[in-house]
Amino acid sequence: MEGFRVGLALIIPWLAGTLWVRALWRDARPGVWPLALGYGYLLGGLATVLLLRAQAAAGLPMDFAGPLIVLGLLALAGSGLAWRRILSAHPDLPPQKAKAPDETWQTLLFILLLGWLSWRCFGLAQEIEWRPLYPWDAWTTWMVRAKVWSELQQWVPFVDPQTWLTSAHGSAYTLAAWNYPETVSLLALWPTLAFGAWNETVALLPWLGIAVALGCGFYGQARLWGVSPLVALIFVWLLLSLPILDTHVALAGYADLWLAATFGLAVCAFLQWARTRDPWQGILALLLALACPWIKHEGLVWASLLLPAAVWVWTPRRYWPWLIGGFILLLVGWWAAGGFTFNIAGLGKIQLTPNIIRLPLVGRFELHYHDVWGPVIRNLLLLGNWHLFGYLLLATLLMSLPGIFAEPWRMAGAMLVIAGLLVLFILFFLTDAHHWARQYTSINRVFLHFVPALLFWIMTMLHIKVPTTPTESL
Amino acid sequence: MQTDPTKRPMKFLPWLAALFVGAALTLLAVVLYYQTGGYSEANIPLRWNGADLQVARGQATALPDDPGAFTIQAADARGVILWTPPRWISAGLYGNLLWKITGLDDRHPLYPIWRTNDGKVGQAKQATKISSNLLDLRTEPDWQGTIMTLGLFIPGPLASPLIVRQLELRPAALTAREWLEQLWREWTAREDWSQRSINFASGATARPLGSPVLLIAIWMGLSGLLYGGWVLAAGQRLRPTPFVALFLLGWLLLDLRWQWELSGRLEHTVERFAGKDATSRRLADLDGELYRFLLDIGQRLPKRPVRLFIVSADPGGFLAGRAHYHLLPHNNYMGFLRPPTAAHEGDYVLILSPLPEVRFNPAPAKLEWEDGQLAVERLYEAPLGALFRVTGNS
Repeated sequence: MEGFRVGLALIIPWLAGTLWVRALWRDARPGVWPLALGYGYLLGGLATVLLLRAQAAAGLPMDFAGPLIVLGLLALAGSGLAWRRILSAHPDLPPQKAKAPDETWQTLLFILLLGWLSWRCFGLAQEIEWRPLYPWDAWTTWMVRAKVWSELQQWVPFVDPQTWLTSAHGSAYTLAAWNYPETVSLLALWPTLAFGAWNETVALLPWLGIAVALGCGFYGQARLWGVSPLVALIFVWLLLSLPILDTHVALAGYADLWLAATFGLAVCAFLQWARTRDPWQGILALLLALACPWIKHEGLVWASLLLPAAVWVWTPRRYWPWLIGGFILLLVGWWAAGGFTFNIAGLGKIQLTPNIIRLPLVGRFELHYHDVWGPVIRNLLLLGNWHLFGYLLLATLLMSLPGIFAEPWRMAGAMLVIAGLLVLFILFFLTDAHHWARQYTSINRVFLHFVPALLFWIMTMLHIKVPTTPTESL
Repeated sequence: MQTDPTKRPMKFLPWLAALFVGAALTLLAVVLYYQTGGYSEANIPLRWNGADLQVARGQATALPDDPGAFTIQAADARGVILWTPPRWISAGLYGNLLWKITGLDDRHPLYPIWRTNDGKVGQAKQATKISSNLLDLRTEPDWQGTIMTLGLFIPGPLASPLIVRQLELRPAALTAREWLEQLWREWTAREDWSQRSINFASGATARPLGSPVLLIAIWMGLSGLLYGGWVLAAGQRLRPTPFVALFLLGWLLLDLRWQWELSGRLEHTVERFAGKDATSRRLADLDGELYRFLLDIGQRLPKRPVRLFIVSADPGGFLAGRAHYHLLPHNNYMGFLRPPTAAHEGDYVLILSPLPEVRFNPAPAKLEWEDGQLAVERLYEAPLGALFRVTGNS
């Protein structure tokens, strides 16, 4: 019975999210179902978190049934909407052509690759099933809240250690990273509420789900971009075979995979919007970008990288020189004024000076150059973290930069990539986070946040568009 | 126009030839590079001054006339232990140990010791009393895999002071065959999951002689150049597909190796944990002994959640953190070096051993430390620690 309830807890939000995302598109474009499955899982999970937070905010007792009923109703409504959309689409499919020999090889390769990926996921799933909660931050931070809430079946608050110490008989709990976002803890809590008790395997199952969802969402967006099924699956394989990503599934419990998937799928949708101006892609990008700070505080910075790229896309081509000129003027003014400091109501102080960066939620950083090229090169190009991804990124950057002004989406993509790499440079070369690079602690985890987005951008740069018909399956 | 199917395999021949020649050239280049003493971390002698070494046992003081050295004035019967700072060292590559230590004699010879990355401590069978010499550690059976720290053990008690000036580890001179064997050993080394795995995957050993990623990138790059050269020389147009195929082949090879490594890790996981209930799995985990102790602690605590302070010598360390997690949902926190003054009657204190600075005085039942005390009742005591219930305010 517990297994059935856990199955419901995982499937109902996924189903609700999938059907609502599927309902966004009238026609059966190739890739729309995998896209719906991928984005649907993430959005369904985030909707569940929202419902749990609403339950806590309303002072209601912790309950599995309430959110599940709401999600079930959402799934029903979504199915009605999706069904109407599908029925109103082109009903007549042209007759299937006999496959050419090349297509047979492609189908065979597609099946082999899918089998390889399935085997990988099966192995990672067994690690989740058998290995007790293992990685450091999982048992010091992310799972602590989930375990307490699950065991007590109460929304107990978490406060800083000093407050906890001085509140003699309070019901508040504490942990060192007490102010980290609650989303990942709530995602782990949800299936254990269905299980009825704390269970580490059950709590970590969503990590396997998010890896699969990332693959589905990526595949769907690649197909929507016009990439053939085999090439789209090859890119999914490149993504899901990355050792650091696999490790974050096998040793589940960190928030980095969630942020990588959320930011990555946001960027995929953003690039689609930038190319086609499809408003639903824009909405998907916006929703997921807004969710990034909910997962980790640095998600605020990552999501904000989309803003200048969006401004570029919005600006008509004839105003681009003005935009560039304005940006250069702003930069010169910033430098001449010794930086900017201002307050945003509700968020706090923002300080951007040549010596100090202070951002709400993220922290304050003093800027000094630290030479960490050695560890950066070792981690990106020599060690086994990323297979050949570092080389692929460098080659794509070199090949694609000359043509970035050709279309707005190309420039938007390049701006995103360059801004992302610049932020990573500032973080690891100019702030105290250089220790994280030297000690190999979080350099790869932070880079992981960008990898799905970078790989999708690489695909768009390398892809020579092949016209596809709407009737191509998957 | 239809291609003659019997001629199709010929299309792949130049590509295959480029691949094999590229592989041979890569291997040749690597061996030559190292054989000719090309710059690499692998070829640099590792040196530590006396001041760089950590004294784990014995009393050391700096030498005023030589800031790089220190003297060990005294040591009890347990002797002297010195460790180098952590550094990943390939045992297959490094083996010649040199030292400059004065004061060694028959009763106080020097034994090299080391700790491997899987936590095993090895000790050389060979001992020496010569103050400056060279020892080949590669003849030692336990000198294998990745060495995390190198150290020295000198039996005590010391009759006269020792002066430690320098320790040096030199790479061994390898033949071409030995280089290739070393490469193969590295590429086929399988590591289990560790607490570092979440942060990085070394892909072979952490400081490889030849990084598989780099070598495959070189291999595919060289093969691509050879193939491209052949195509241009034949007056044909360059097409992207063969180059993409080279890149994907390189990725696939790395992924096959990664899958092989993952399968090995899964075998260990299944061996240790599969088919067991949650408690048995915890007991089989790397902190199983601590977990057993905490199960006993849990039996002494009330069923309802209580406020509990975990006090230890390393509040931010592994054991304190694991104790914090395992004892949930008791309202506990582990960030304490001493029992906090905010503790009230009815709170609990868990002391994780060793913590000699905090003592339990049975009469009048108090925890005492340098500048404080706390009235408690002792509920449980074991080698790993003790549980107390606070009976009065500090």
